[in-house]
Amino acid sequence: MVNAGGLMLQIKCLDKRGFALQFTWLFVLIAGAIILGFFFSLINNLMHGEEVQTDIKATQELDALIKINLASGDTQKIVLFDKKIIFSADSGSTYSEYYVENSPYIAKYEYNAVFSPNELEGDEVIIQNVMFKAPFRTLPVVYVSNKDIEYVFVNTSTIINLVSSYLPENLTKASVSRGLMPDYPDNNYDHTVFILDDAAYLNSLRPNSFRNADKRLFAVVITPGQNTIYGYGNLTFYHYTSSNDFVSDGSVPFLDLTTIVGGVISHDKAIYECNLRKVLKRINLLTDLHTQRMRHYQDDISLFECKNLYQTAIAHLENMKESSIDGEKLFTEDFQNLLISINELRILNPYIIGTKDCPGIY
Amino acid sequence: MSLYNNIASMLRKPRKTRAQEHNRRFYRKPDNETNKKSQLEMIGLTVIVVIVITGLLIVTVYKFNNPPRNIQKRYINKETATNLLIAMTNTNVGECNNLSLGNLLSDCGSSYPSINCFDYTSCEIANQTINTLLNQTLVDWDLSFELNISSPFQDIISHFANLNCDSTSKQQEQAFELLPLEAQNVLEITLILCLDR
Amino acid sequence: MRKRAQMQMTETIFVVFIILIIIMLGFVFYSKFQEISIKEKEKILRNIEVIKLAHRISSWPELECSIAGAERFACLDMVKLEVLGDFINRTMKTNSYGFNYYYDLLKNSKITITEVYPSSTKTLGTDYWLLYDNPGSTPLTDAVIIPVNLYNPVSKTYALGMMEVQIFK
Repeated sequence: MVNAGGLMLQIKCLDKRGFALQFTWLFVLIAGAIILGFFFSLINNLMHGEEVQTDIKATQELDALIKINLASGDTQKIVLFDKKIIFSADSGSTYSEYYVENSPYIAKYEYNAVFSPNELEGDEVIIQNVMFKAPFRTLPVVYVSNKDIEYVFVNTSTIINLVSSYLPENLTKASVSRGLMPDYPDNNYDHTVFILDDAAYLNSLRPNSFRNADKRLFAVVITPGQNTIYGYGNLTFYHYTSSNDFVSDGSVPFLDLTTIVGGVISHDKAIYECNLRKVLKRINLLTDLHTQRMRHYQDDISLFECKNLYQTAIAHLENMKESSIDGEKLFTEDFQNLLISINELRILNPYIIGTKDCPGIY
Repeated sequence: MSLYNNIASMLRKPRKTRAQEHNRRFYRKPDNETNKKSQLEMIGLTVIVVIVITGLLIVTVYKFNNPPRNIQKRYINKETATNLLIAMTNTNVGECNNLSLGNLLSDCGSSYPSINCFDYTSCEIANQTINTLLNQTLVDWDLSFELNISSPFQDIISHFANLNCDSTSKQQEQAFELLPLEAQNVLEITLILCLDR
Repeated sequence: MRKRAQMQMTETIFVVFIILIIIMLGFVFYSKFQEISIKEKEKILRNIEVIKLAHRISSWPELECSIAGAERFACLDMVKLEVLGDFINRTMKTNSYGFNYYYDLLKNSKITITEVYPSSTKTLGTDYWLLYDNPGSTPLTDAVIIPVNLYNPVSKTYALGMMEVQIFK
């Protein structure tokens, strides 16, 4: 009986121990799961935060490359960049922006003329800047593109050859005759842009072999103005639709090869027009400043010899100022007037400096 | 044995052995010794704390009592100093037919100086002009500097200094400019700025 | 025995506590010094950025001295200076595109150009120009000076001048 009692006590103790053991394991499991869960979510949040940080940094780096300062010369940079960049612009104003996909940071550039397609995706980005002259140094124009966009020049007319040679190096260029254009193959680029001097040949293209042709096929038709090859004219932008046709997005004037190339590179009417307006506004601002300076020289008695020449310069500058007003619609006639004044100033300035030995217009 | 006896036997303290009892009675340390030991330990700890805090205080006092850096109202560096030399040499000197200072210095440093303006030689006018320029710039800004102009034909042409700028200064910026002379020789202009004076 | 153990425990706790305080004090001092040193470096970097900005300004088409088509380094045309200074001052009041263009480039800053030689009377419009005056409340940099040549297009001579740039918050 005594042994049974002792045994009972031992069994009771065992029960209590067993219960405590089970409870301990349960506690460990639950607490462990909570702690693990906490650490997993922390790591997840950190990783997501790091990705966002990287995207923001990438946008800021690109910003530094794209926002070229007024002092820079003509350069090209090829930058390794494997994230998707989306550009957008308001064709009626100078407002434009871009951002890296999934990044909350949006970079705005209201005063820098950057011609780019509406989106860029690839391993690298090609950035070229060229100083726009009218005829004085106006502002650096930036071309942004990559090798995954194919620029196909149709026909071998003077304007097409000029634009082809002026297009930045390292971009993917191709040439095709009008006869071979209908059977142009799909080379699997992100975008294929046809550059033509006659819209009539546009619909001869048979893009049956092009996958997602409505998202990848574009065209730009260059129509030079009267008595000029590339001085002024119109660019008409087209995109391919699912109804097997190229549809026009509209026409915008151009001034000089620099803006033609800008239009070709962007192959987007809104982006082209927005950046063209920035160029016009800058021309407007500089002509105002140059006009003030010419008036100052006119009032200087020691420059009496050149007074009439300065008067002529002022007339041309004021014409340029009138023609570069940023209205709701851009007119080709204004660009024609701009070109005339630019050409006149180009001849007048060296004459004033060299022959008359007076301070120049610019 | 009963249950209670079992429990009682489990709970009862084990008896000390005779040896353990003996040790407990005769080898227990006296209270005084224990107190002294702990007091010594406390003193030792206090000494360490005092030494560390004193060390930190000395470092802090030294850092804050360092002679203050010349608090410049204007920032100037090596690039700016080089630009100053270039700008100076491009400046036209009205007292000598609007010739540039660089031209005057080149003439002064050549083997046969030939320029004369109102009975002053090119060296005299150049030195005068440089003196004026330096007074309006580096001297006016209370900067310690040393300017030396030397040519292979005449060794040191000019030397200007302000506020004892010499090789003992620990924070120096140097700027150079070279002007061409005849027979592929050069005139050397050196500007040393002592930024810690 | 129990009392001795308790004393030892108290002693250990005190030791740990004091060591922690010493470590914290040391850490506070170290952070303070690091903070001062980082702020100094930051200021120097900002000053260098200001110098770069000043060099870029001297290459602007509306300020550069172009003699027969060639642009000169760190050279400002005096007449262009006067015209641009007036323009910015005028457009600042109307908040037009012109002023916004320069505000985008220069933000809150003050840029003055002073002729040092041959004339140094500091007469506005003659040998002293206030190119841009849009200061903020707190200066972020020292007043950075950049020596420039001032070109007079009428007499075709170069004077020595100083461009002073200061950026504000």
